[in-house]
Amino acid sequence: MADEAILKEEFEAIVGPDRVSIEGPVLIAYERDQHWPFVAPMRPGIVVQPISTEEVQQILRIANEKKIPVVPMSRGVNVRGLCVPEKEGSIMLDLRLMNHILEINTEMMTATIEPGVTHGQLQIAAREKGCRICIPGAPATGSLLANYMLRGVYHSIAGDGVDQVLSAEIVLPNGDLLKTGSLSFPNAPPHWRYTSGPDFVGLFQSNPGTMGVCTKMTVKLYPMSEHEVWFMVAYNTIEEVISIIPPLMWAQIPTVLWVLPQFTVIKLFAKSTKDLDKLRGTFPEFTIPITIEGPKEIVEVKAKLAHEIINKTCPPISGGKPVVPPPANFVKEFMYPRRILGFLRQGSYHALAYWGPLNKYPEYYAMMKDNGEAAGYPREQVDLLASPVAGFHGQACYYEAEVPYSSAKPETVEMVKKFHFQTLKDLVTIGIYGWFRPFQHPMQIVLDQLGTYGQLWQNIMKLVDPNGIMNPGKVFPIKKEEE
Amino acid sequence: MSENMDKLEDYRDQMINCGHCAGCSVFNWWTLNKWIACCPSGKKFGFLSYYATGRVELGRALLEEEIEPQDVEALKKIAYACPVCGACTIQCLEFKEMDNVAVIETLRARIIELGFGALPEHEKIRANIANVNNPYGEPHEERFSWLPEGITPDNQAEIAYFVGCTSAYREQELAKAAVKILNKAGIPFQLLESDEYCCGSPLLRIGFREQAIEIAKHNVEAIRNRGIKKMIFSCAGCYRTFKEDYPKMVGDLGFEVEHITQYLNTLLKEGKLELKNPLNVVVTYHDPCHMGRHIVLKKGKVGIFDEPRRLLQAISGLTLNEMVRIRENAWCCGAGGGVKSAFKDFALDTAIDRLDEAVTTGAQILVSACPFCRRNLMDAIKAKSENIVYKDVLELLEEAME
Repeated sequence: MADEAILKEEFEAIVGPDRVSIEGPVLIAYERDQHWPFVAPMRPGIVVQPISTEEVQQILRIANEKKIPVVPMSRGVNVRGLCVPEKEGSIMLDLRLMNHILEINTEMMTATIEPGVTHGQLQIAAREKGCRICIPGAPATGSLLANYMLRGVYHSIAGDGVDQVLSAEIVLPNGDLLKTGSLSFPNAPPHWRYTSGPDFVGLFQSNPGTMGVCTKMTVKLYPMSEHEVWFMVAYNTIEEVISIIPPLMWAQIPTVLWVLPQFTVIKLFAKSTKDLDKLRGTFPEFTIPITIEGPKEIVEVKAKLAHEIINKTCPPISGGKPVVPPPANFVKEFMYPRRILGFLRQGSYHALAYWGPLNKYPEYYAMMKDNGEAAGYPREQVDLLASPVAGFHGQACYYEAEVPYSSAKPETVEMVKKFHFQTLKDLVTIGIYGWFRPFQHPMQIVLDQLGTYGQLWQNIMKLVDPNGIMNPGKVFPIKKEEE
Repeated sequence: MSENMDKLEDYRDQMINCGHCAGCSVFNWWTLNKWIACCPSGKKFGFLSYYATGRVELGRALLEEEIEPQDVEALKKIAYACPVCGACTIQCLEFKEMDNVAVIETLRARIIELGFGALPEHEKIRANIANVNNPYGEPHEERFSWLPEGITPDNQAEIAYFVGCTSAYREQELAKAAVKILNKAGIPFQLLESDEYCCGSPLLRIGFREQAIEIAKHNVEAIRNRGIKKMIFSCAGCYRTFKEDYPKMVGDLGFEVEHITQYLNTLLKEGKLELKNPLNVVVTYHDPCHMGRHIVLKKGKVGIFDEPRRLLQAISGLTLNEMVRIRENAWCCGAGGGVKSAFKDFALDTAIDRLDEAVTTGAQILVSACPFCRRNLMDAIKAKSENIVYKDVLELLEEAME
């Protein structure tokens, strides 16, 4: 009997016959995602769909004993090839059936979820109970647990940084169960990140399934705002844009603040592909949606202060008006992201994302326009959006470069690759805080320069996963002897 | 052959560019303000392959010759375990403008072209239509055996009623209601008599295109020869096939095509539909995919959502309580696309899901406008012994007419 057939029998004994398959046409759906020009397709050897932590533990024990790679997939919505196997015969651990909201605790302002729960699913459920989640700037169809574990960028709570996780239940590669934060303490509820010892959540974050399988997570919720004010300001130069952001952040005014270049705004507004070209040129170079939330009196004071800061620092253009209200759909987008899926309209979606300081925005922007042009793009098709994520210095930003391409057209694939690899190198030269998601290409560029940090990281991974079964190759390249 | 019909290759670029965003797997959460999975097949079978994304990947893999001989049976199971309800496509139209219904139907057509064959139940349907012009294998000469006494079609009329196989042989109450309404309203109409063959919808949904084209040619020629100006349909599947598929197969039809609910709306507006009997009932309405979503899929076209509702609301005493999943976001009854014949449990589970929702509205009657939905939803009612009955819009209208 072939290895996969034996494995199938073993997994069937755990999850039953309907949730395991080694059939080619079933596996084809897992062999690539839209990032395939960068991450080559590879079909897994088997797919299994557990529905409980105990089943995940049993599956990992078998995989670890046999040293078979495991690719955990929470929802499979990513643009980085993170759930595409790198090794032949891998086990696709499809966690989409673990999609239960286990608790919404309005007293503790927390939710406890399984990996298959989507942003939209929890947001809608939380709002029904009078609270909300920190909304990732990603399609509402994505896994909230995966997003929070990988650290996302958010449409709300701009001042609360990037960490939304309180505690997690993680199945280690050998099948042991790790509980972090207060969840690890006897008889304690899961609602607090810090316990007697070190913060293990942070240790496991930003590892795309490479340290174990997170089967449960308790996350922060936020109260629904009593009052909201939404407005947009616009500018035609990047220098004007960056002048207004730090004072707004220092004053802890916005709950949402994004710097959206022209074409990004168009992609959010366009109802069809035809609209994309029609709307080009109808928006200023940069649009900044800003939201202020809280009790009515405070919102009114903050809004007044925001207008004073903006007008004093750099009066906006905004079509002749100092501020304009955003369209209703725009507001909706920031609560239940949907239109963002239209970013795929032009073909595939390429986003090169990283963390960096706001004051380097002009340098990043100019470099990307140059790289785009050198790769064959018209300069106006290269966008770089920014979102400040930390109130204390107003500088730490999420950045995302966007260029269109079609996976079906080899010439555009070559263009995007040329842009991508040159830009990765140039970003390291200019200086960034780090890659948004540690996927293989960016990591290869900096691996030798990470020093003790990089070495210790790899050593920790080896300690946790000595057989290297967890999603190998997704952070650090697979070494020849491991292949 | 079918030069004007789309081919799997036509969707190559879109299939390659599928973003795996899963936007096709959930009903519009902006419209519903709820998070509800929309794909019956994905819900039933679980693996990614059973969602539109997976079938798109199968289409791509077939084009790129990734399918090995040992994969054929699994390929067929995935390709056919889908009612082709179009819930995925409605979502994707907003994001990527990819017609998953077309991809799945061309995938099936390619499976047939490659000689893999359909599922055994589908092969039987094909043979029955070839032999006796209907998928049920019933005698062709009994197609109009249901025609009530006292109703005489007028072979000079400009309007004709296309009965369809399911109403002719299985759900005859629906056909009877249709002709009684026309008769009561004083509308002369033709029946195609022995010239009416299956519309070809089952063949097209399964992928037997060549045979469907021959049938379409026959039906269209018969209609033209009778000088008919307008065909009306009480079957959503027949309507969709004539409206959307026939022009691709045989060119300009030369006659109008309307679902009977559209036609009766016109009569209602003109005061020719007198609904004098009050019906003190609470109903809920199920949108058939073939007259709703499948029409919306064609850009610029509006699905038939309002017309049946307007007819129901015109009945005195009737209360319409809506379900959550309606119109473009309607949950499929589960019967279409060859599922009812080849995946009976799946079809029934999907219908029970719909029935459960209908019951929550407090309705006494679950109403729809398609004989195939009728069959499957009635099976669900029987399976669950729910205290609710099924009726077609036409049956209620007929009751409300004097």
